[in-house]
Amino acid sequence: MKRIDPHRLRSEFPMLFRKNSPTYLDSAASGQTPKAVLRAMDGYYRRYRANVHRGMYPASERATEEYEGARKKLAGFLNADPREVVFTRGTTESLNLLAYCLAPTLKPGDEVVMTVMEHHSTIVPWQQLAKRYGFEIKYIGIDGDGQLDMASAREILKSKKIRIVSLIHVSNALGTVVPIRELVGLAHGVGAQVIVDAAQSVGHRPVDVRDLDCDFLAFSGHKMFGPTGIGVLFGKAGRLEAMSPFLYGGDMISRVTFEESQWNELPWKFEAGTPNVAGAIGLGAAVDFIGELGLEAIHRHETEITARAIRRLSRIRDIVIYGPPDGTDRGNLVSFGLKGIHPHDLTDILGRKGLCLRGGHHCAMPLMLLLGLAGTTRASFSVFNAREDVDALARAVGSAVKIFGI
Amino acid sequence: MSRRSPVDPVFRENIIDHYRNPRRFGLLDSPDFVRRESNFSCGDDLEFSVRVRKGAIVDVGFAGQGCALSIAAASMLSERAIGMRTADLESMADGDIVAMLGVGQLTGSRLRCATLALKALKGGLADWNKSRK
Repeated sequence: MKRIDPHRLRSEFPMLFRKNSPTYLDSAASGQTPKAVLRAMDGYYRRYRANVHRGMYPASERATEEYEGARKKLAGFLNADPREVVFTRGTTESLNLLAYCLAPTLKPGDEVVMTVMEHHSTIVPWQQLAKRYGFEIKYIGIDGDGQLDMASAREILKSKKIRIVSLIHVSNALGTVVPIRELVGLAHGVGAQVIVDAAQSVGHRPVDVRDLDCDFLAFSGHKMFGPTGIGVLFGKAGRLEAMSPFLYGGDMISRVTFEESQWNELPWKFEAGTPNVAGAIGLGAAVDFIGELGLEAIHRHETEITARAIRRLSRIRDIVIYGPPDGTDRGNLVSFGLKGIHPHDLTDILGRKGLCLRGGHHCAMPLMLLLGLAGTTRASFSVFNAREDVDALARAVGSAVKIFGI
Repeated sequence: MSRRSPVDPVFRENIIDHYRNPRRFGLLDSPDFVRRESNFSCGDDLEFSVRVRKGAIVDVGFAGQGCALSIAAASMLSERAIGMRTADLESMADGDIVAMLGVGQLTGSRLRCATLALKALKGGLADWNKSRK
């Protein structure tokens, strides 16, 4: 298998390859952009800047070809059909699209199931739409190690009233990996459709939508070396066919009269308006970048770095590390706290030492309430992070202990 | 290495001291008004109770949880507010809080932590004044 060389790779990321570059440990919030992705987007703006699907001149034809080519790359990457790959603004928009399109098909008494680790972008749309359509939401809990409580999952997923099951693949707050395939089996057993929030898994570990057998899957480009403002909604063709459009406008119609409209074919039925052409092209280049490094190699590197971080941080007095213990399958992040120091203060101290981390509730306030935490400090890793980044983190956390005199 | 390394002007000893041992901590029994403010981004959540006599603040007590800056600012401002004319408190600005803390410049999210107490006291006073008219 190929191996990742983080030092060599650093030169691919302009923001990290400057004098006094900060140590970037916040890839779970947003990744860094490699030169290949910047070049691909720049190429569009400089050489064939035009709208897609309409112009009858070479630049527009090229733009269409590259835009649809990016879709094909994404489809291959996910093991999906290009008709099943809808470009959106990101995970949040993909998840909202699903909630807004599926909620009207639910009635009072129906159930929607999710885990307590869901991001606000899953909890809030369903919670708000439940008020309008009268369905109920049930949550699958976690155990003391931050793993999904499978006994509770099996119990909850027996109900024939369940219509939708929405699952986070890898928790952005704890790093927990949710056993999607097993849960999809249970959900399909009671006739429910399954949505997977793959924001933290795509680009970090192999994700095959046929293997997972999920009905829908959502992710963002910017967390997998792509630009901001572009993301994907995968949906099984039959499921997308059965849904009404989310947004109306240009490109998503086939025929319009003053009285009636007919929808375009998949996937364009869900892509109203001029799409984010440069973003899609950049995301296609990100898929190529990942392909060159090898997804297995990326996963192995990130797993090794995360394990080292957990080992080094565990030695610090008064530290608490949240989420699954070392040695279990985990996302590329570690969430932690120091007794007696607010996560905001700890993250601030680390920031002043040139370490970029995220501190707070990680858009999972209900989970933080459940755990009784104001928040956590989170380090997350990518291919450009090396062992010395982890060692610098451990040293800086140790110095925070000194500042607070705990 | 010194315990106060040069990169941490925000975490000076007096900030840590006020954070560890906040003054005026605990809500008053019969306040003229109470005001709760929270800071969404980092979960600071503070409640203030205030007694006012003849246009001056005579007692302040607060409760809640937060980061070192928000608690230290609440502690220092509560001490300072006692004896102040309400009009003087209402005219205090964010810059006065930063000066009171003595932490140099604060940006974005940290400024919101530092000024949460002032926001609560000013907001509470404004509503109380309105309710008396």
